[in-house]
Amino acid sequence: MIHTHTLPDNKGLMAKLSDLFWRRPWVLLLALLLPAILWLGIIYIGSLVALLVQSFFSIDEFSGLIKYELTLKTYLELLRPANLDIIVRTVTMATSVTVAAVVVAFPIAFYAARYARGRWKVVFYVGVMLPLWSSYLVKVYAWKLILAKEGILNWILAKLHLGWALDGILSIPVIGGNSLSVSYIGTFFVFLYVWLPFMVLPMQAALERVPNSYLEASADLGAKPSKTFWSVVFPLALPGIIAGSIFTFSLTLGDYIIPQIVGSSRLFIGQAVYSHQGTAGNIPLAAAFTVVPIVIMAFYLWFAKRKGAFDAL
Amino acid sequence: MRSSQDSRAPLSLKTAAVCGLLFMHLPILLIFIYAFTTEDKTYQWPPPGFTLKWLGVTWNRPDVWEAMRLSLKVAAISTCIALVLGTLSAAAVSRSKFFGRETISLLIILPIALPGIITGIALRSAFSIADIPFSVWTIVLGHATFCVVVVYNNAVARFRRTSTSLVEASMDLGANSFQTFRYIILPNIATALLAGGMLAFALSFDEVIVTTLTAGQQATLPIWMLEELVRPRQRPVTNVVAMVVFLVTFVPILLAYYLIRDGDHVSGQGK
Amino acid sequence: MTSAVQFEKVSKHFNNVRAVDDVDLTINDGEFFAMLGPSGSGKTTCLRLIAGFERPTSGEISVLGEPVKNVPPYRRNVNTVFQDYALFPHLSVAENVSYALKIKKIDKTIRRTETENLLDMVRLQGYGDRKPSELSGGQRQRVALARALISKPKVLLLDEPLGALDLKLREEMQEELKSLQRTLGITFVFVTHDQGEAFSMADRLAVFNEGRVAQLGTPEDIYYRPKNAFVASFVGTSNVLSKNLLNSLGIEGFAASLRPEDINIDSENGIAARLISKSFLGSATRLSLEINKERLTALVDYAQGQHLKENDEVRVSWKSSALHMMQPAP
Repeated sequence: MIHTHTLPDNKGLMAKLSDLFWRRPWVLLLALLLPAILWLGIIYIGSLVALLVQSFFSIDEFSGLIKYELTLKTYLELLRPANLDIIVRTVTMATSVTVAAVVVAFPIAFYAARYARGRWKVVFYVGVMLPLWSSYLVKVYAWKLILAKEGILNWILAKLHLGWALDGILSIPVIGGNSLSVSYIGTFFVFLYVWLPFMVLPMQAALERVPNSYLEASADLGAKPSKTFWSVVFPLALPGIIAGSIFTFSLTLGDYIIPQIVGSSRLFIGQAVYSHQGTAGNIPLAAAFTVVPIVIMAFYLWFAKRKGAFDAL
Repeated sequence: MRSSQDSRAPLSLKTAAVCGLLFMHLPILLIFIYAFTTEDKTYQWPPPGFTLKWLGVTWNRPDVWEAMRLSLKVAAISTCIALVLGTLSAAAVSRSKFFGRETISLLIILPIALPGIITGIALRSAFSIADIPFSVWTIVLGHATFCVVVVYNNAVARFRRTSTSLVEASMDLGANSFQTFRYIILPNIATALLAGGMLAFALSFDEVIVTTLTAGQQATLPIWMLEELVRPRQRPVTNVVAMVVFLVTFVPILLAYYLIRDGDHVSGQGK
Repeated sequence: MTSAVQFEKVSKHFNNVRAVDDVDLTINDGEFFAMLGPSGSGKTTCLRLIAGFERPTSGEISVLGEPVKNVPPYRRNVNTVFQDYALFPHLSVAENVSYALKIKKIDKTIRRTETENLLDMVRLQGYGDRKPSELSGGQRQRVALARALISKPKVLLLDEPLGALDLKLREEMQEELKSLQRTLGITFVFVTHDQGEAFSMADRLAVFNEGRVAQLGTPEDIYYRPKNAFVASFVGTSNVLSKNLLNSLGIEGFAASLRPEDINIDSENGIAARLISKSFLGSATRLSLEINKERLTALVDYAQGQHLKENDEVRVSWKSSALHMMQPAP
């Protein structure tokens, strides 16, 4: 040993702080968490709480000013037929979009998880990830182009001499309309398109965790493919499906852009919130409306947690 | 082992899967075609002809540039804030077990778990209660809130794969907390942070739901587009802007994918 | 002789688990010391307390005579070889080895020569530019060793360093570590659950059980004179004679240990036993015997055991000095 090295000293701010972090690990923990707690815990949660509190205020019908007294009057207003309609409409749309997303996403997720190998695996992964992250508004805009009267969909149907089929569908009451871009069917397709990747990814993750041996065991025991699917594959994919449905359901519940651009003029919850807080200036009613998706999602998340869906996120 | 016969998917499944993928991608392709159409009044298909004219027209539109500049600024600032908040909380949550750990994760995930309009309305009403005028910073406040989770998720995943003994080894060899962060932790999580930052940038750049509520009279590029969608003025310019917005978000997303994948690759080798 | 490491009434509790429970221990300067015990016995926690990764709940630890209560790991003259080696994956082998010198801002040329010296010492000349992921398990272990030794610590801590290696490599490394320790003359503190490893390398060892030191001594002490039933049964295949059995043989005591090789066939004066089974081990034969409904294992010469058959009555004896009286477990 030619020379000995000196040990680092404890002078300087960094060294002193570092010593403190070692002696009192909770100081380091607090230092790490403090920015997030201040930002999210105080600004964000604070705003949410303030909003919820306002839902217990009411608006004076004559002056249009907010009365700062705690009351359930605003919640009662939610139960008026017009407002109840909005809630039922939105929840029905969210449910149908979620169910359709499960049906369309399943083959993609199943193929990607169980059959795609090598280059195809990458193609499927990137092919789902890109639409997931890419611009929401551009995707909605693309559908405006597709569904327009002079747009590509009508052109294709005309070429195939299927225009009568579309007219038939559009003549169905409630979900039909003058054209696809002003009907619930149009709204439904855009929702389905925009949220589909949110369903595929968790589903694929869940299916990838199903060992091949399970499927083989079921086949060895003489089960028909359909039986294997319903009794083995589907239950194992269920946590992924629920995880994906949290996204499709929640996102549909709160959206107010899509029904505004593609759809009939009848309101969804998001639009109702937006218009009540904006032009009408009725913040209490807007706040009460936001409580609806919060309550629905709270129930949904509680249910999902019981089914073990969070492990698939 | 599965026999090769077994590993081939039924044709119906394959068809359904490929159709699903096409369903997700063909509409975006349409955007690119429309950006070059000669038709300027309607969304006519097939386009009567193709031209590069609208690229030039868009290039000379000051309102588009203004919106673009605001979007880039907001996305850059929000990404920086999200990087700091997300990395620090990820470090805390993945390195130690403490009371309230679950609450912190929930707190971070909440802004994307709740519908965007709730975040937007909550912030907007808070601004009005506190008498805060709309500015770049009110937009940033909303964006950073939901961008944190993207960085956080990437960082937590990387921290989990990085052995805790690396930090102990560094301290053992004479490095204090700050030196350990600089020489050991940062290089090991850098690609994950970069990927998280890219995704946060893309998320912020094209966000519209929260932004309409926190921007006031300012227009980011998505808000500019939304106005054009509701009250069309010059459709071809909107088409070009849609293409640009897609490309500006597309590039960081693709980069993020390769960064995450390479990160996995490297840490997989170490095992 | 000064002590390298000293524990005075040291306890470490994690929530309500007493990982280390009131341990007193002195590790002498320059010795090869092993901490032996099953997993969860507190041996690794003791090592982490010496390194400074954990702080004691109570009690005092001194390293080289200095109390280290408020000294963080980066200011202790102690270095560690980790169980998973903990090599920095983003740095090359040379950068890993010279990390401690870089942190101390040692001049670059000195850094390079010292790194070369250390790599020579662990026989990894020419591997400096590789990444840890390109090395075999044995090579990684040498890098970890070189990295820990470059700051010339007074005490080197090794946490199950041979656990991940295959048998042949493990035996080689045992020899190497031992000669390295003799050459450097510094204290090695070595944690293992493998008693063979502890016996072949250590000058002294502590056997841990449930957070306490069950016995402290030389390998010979522990092998031939286990102080209690835990040590006797954990260290090798010693027979434990219960109080009942001792009493039936007319011996006072709580329990006693008896090594299988100390039991002889003695058809004249022996105690009656029944042969349950026998197995051929080459030069020796292992007999499984039953005395008073208690099982004993005996190891006898091939010639002695040759004619015995299962269920035979066998008479056995042992020297009274071979029987070691034990205390209740601590």
